[in-house]
Amino acid sequence: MTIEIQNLSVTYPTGMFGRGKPFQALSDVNLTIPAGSVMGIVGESGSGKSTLGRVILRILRPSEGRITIDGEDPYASEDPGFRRTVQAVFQDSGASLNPRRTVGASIREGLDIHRIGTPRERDEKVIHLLEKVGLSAGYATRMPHTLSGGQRQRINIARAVALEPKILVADEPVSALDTSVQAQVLELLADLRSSTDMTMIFISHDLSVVREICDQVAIMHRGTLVEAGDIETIFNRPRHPITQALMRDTPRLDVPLSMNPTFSYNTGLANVA
Amino acid sequence: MPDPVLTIKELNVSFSSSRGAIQAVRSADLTIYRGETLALVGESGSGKSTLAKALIRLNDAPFAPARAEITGHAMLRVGDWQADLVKASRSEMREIRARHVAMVAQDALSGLNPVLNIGRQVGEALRTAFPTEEKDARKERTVALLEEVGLPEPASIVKRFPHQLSGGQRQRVMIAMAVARGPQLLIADEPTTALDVSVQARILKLLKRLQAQSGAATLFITHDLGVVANFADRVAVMYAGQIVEVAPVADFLHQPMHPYTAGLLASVPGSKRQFERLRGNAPDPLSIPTGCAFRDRCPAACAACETTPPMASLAKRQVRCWRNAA
Repeated sequence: MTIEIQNLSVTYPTGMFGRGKPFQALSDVNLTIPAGSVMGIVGESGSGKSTLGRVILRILRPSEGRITIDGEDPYASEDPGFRRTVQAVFQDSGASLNPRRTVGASIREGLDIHRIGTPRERDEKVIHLLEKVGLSAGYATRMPHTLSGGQRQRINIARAVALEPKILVADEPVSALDTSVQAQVLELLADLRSSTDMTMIFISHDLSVVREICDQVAIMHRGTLVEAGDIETIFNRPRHPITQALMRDTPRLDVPLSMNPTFSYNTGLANVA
Repeated sequence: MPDPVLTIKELNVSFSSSRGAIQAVRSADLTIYRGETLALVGESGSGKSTLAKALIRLNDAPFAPARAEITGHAMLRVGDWQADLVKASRSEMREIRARHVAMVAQDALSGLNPVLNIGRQVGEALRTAFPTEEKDARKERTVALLEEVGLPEPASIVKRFPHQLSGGQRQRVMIAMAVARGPQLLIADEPTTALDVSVQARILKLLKRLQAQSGAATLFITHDLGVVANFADRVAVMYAGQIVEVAPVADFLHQPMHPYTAGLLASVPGSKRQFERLRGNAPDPLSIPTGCAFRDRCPAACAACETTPPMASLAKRQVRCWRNAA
């Protein structure tokens, strides 16, 4: 599904009873997310990237401007079926799961609410989903605290895709994971994406992760969108100074100190051998 | 021959838990030389922070509720003076922490006292190092130190409280407190992990500059291999409580010898993947496999791996793998 964002602004009330000066979390953002693409939204903390994700998820009403999903304004209708089409995965894999419910029950909940299939079909679907995210059927009866962070994030992904959403908003889904687990979860997301026509919004502070999985990227800074476009174009020729600074400051494996003229820890003082 | 500042030999750290003993660090050998940055890398639970904390005995009472059992040696050498950090008494440790070994942790907010202003806290660090100094001189030195670490308007920062500073500014205060005593060894435990990349770059530059001035050794703990590539001189890799490989940074990046190191490098987003990525999960610290701890995830595992491989020493590097054992 195509997401169109036009002149979007979001302000948060501040101070006691909202009497403070409102905080402008997003100002005048324009962005088109083509159907079936993986759009990376990148920025430092406080840049508004999560706020943008929340607007797309229909959990934060814009103060100004509009968002349409395939031409329809999600905030104009109260359609309970909306949640089937737009699902989310968040950073904190533990806080996203009910600690008193088995992970199988958590995955099944959406299927129950939307009355998809017979109860037996739902059980089968849970097992199918677990296998799809690389876990065995036996995990259905486990409690969240017995799983590792990577396994829990797989459960969150299984739950998000259980309803076969058209849009998946992943807000820093791998930021809390170790390097090897991160790579495995990114591969899972890439597999899911190639087997469906799902549009994915991938919010991250990490440019190298975004480059790995996204085909479009939008760079945010202090509530504004500074640059957006095709991932290779932006990475090869960043135009905005903010994008250039982000790329310069992201440490990379393949560009050692001596070979990267724009990035250096050497301060010109006597170098220690 | 470079001067070793710290020589760790056969260091073991274990904790008792309700489910049994946890061997968090298992026979670690490591030498850190003057003026170098040694990166200690590994994934969560690999024991890298435990090893670092053991060096200044932060996992002892009264700092931690679960008392760690530490055995082995960690010889700290400063000129002709030397001490074993494992055997030092509590009063000796106080002296060592005040003068010779300093630590910067990831979470600067919990490292600072929320109800004391910055000047008071930095002053306290200075007082432990220079107990006889006059109060006014100490105040001047505090302001100079805050300026040194790149804080704007240091004269007004001293009156502020930790919550009034940004994350990067708080980390600069922590660094000021750490370098106040002119330590020979700085332990930096994920000092930039919670910061934005631009702030991270500035903090790393600051650490490099201070190190160039003082010639101190830095033990830099991180899980970010991109930072390692740009910041470290040598790298030690930990897996399941053991140091599995120690190598100069270029060798680590381009010719990893331990299969875990190779898999870890291949797992970094955007890496060229000349090696196979890591599969599966790290072992439960309560039931680490016998023999090589990595063998059930290792693409090159063989029958020999059922016994623990020794640390093989090669030119400038060491690796704990049977493929390289003599």
